Amino acid sequence: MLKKLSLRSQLVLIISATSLFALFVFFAAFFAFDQANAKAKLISDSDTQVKILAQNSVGALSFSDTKAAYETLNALSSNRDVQAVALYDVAGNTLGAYNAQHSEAPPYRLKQEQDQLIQTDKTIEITRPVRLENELLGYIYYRASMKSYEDRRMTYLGVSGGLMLFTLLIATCVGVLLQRWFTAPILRLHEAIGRVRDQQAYFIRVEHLERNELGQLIDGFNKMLGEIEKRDQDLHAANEELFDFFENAPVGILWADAEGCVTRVNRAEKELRATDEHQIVGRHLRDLFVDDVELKLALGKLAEGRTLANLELEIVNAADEKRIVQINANGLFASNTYVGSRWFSRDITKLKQAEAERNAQAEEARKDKIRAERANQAKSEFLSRISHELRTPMNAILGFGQLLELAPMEDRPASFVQQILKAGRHLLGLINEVLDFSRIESGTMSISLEAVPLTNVLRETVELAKPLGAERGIEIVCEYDQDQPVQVHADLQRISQVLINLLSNAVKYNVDGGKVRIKLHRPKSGRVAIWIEDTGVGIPPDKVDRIFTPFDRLGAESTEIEGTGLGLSFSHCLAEAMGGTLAYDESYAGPGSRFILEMRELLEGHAQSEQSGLSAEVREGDHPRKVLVIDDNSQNRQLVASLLERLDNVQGLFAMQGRLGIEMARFEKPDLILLDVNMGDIQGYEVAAKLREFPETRDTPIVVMTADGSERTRRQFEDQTIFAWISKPIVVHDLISVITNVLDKGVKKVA
Amino acid sequence: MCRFACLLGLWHIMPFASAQTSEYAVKAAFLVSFVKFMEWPQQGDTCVIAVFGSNPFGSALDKAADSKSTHDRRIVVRQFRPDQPIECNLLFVPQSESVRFERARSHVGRGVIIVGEALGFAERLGHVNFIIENKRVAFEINRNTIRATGVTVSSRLLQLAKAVN
Repeated sequence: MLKKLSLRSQLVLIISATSLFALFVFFAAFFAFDQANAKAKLISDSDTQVKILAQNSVGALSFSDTKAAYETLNALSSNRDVQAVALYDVAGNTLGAYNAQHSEAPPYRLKQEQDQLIQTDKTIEITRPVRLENELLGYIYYRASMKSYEDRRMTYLGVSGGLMLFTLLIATCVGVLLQRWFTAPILRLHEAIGRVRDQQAYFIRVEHLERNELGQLIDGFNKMLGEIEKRDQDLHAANEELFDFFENAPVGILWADAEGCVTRVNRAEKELRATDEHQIVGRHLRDLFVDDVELKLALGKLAEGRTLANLELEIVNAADEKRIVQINANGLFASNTYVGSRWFSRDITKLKQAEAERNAQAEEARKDKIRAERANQAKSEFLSRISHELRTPMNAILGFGQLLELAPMEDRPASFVQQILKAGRHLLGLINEVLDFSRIESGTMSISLEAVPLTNVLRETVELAKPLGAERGIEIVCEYDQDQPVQVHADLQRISQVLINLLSNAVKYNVDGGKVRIKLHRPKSGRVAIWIEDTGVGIPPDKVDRIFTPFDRLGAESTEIEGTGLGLSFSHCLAEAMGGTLAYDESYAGPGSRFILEMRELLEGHAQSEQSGLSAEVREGDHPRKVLVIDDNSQNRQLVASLLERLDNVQGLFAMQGRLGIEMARFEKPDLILLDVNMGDIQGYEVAAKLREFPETRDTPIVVMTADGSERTRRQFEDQTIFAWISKPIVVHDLISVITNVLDKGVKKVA
Repeated sequence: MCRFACLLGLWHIMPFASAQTSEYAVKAAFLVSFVKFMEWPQQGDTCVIAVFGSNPFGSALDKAADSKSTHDRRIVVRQFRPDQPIECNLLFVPQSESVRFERARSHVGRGVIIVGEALGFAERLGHVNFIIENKRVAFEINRNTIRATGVTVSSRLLQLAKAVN
């Protein structure tokens, strides 16, 4: 019961009880001691009084003096305790007696030789013999009341009770004061704890003035509260951050309990579901996904502690939209017990749609590409066919034109023929350029790299360009050591093409009477740079970056200068295809412009025929040289025949079919075979192969004539040793130089 | 002892029954009792009570002395003729011998207490004198003379006595 009381009451009660108990014990002990003492003293006093009385009565008894006896006894009357006193002579007769008011008289006779003390509750009775020098004189009787003793006890009890009450009062007051000193701070602390507990009021502090342990306790409590408050704030902040993170996460997050019922969702999830929290929380997961079986499996996995990674599930949200979500989920465990799961869902509907669209687009693009490739192929084939078709008649026009030119003629027809040839060559140039360009575009351009004597090639191209320049008084100057042979790694035909293009441009875009300079440099080891400088108008800086753009003539289309706008672009491509570079030197101060063609130098190359000059002549021999021409086109045969007639000591043999050509070759054993590619019975490469099979024709040089210089055609002959390629329409000079070249070698070989 | 007391008790009542005989019995008892209240210098264990002249007590005095003797102090009674030198502690002079004693007074030693029974005896001749008051035997003591004897008298005796100058 005591434990139920408040601290305050307990304290007061304890203090009062302790004081009361102490007082009680003290008073009880003191009372008992005093009572015992008082009683003994009373008895002793009475005894003493009786003894004195006895002494004083000796005379009275000795002489039976009644008067003296009375006087003696009356002396005790002042003692209020004394109730009765009497003296008896030796015979037991009363000599004198005294008794107080309202008290019993002493016995009339008394003979009692022994000392006797009878103590009752209320009285003490003493009987004593009186002797003088051992002589018995008489007896004395004495009776006193115990009233004073009783009175003393009552007084004592009264005083004790009063004192106890007073002490109790003091103790209570002290208790109340102590309570104010000791329990008040505890009560404040108690109240503060209550507030903290009920209202989470961590900000409160308990004030106090105490410097004792209570003060320290409160200080400790305040400090603890501060700590808790700080932690609470931290926790709150962290919680808010976490909640914010959770709520604003770009993926949908939902929690489910162990049964699979949703307990919590974030904003992204609600948006995904197009609904609010109340529609989701509490529902089972199987209501939220379309595929029940898959979900059941997934929940089973999670409960086993496995995770779901990138699982794609379908949902139908509240807006009746079908969505595909990518699920990443894991089970939540508390002390190894499965308590629920956490699901991250990413809406990948759009991704899926985009993917599908991309796939469709890719498919479309693939089809487009195939279509484009087909179209391109068709275009290339068309161009190839057209150019072939165009060049075949051109062959005849130019070939016979050239023959006409050689024939003695009157001035006027001769100038006509020259006009026809000029126009024809120009047309051929255009056709070639278009053809080359289409080859580059279609990737069928073939480059065969070999050691090329650069100085020779330069000399030849300069020779070719000189007539052009001469017309307008333009001088072409070679400012390098022409006797020092330089070999580069290139395709002979292509590098010539590039150089002719550069030189003709330098002439075409020059001023009348201007100059073209050619220089050689070695910018670094293994590289040769050919500088071609003109004194023309140059190229405006804003057009420099368009120099190598196809069909872009940089404004020259408005001038009278002819061109397709393909030359530089084509040359650029060719230079790179040969492992070199072609660049416009922007740093050239001018006037005019400088193009730099840089090629790889071959320091030790094969010996190349030095005699590729156009003016070489077939030497006079013992017997005429036989040249077999295998061509099914009669115009071609006729053209070549006319040309061969012009060479001394050369006999032309002609076969209009491939098989016939082979037979003739075996029989006649010609020094040179000129072979057409496309023939009626068998193809040119088959003829070449057959020729290589027979010992008598195995080493005969073969020159292939073709209007179709494509890679495919060349590949057909790759197994055969072909001396040279002659493209149709035939350039008379070229063919003559090739023939004389072969025949000269043959002479040398024979010799 | 008890028997003596009984006897004595019985005897003690007697003076009131027969005045003539009991007066001397009382006086004998008083004489013996006086001894008990007095102390003599150079006192031995025997205390002598003497009667001057004729003995009025008969045997009463002897009986009283016997009864009151204790082993501390033996009380002896002697009789002296008037011409004899008197040697005792206490001398009783009967009334009849009072005149004769006046002559013999000078023979009495200094340390002897003289008890008489004549009117004015204590003032003239002795120290203690029996008187009769209200038919009871009483005594008077001359404090001046008794002090001169050198005998120490108990104050309790003095209180009981009637003072005489």
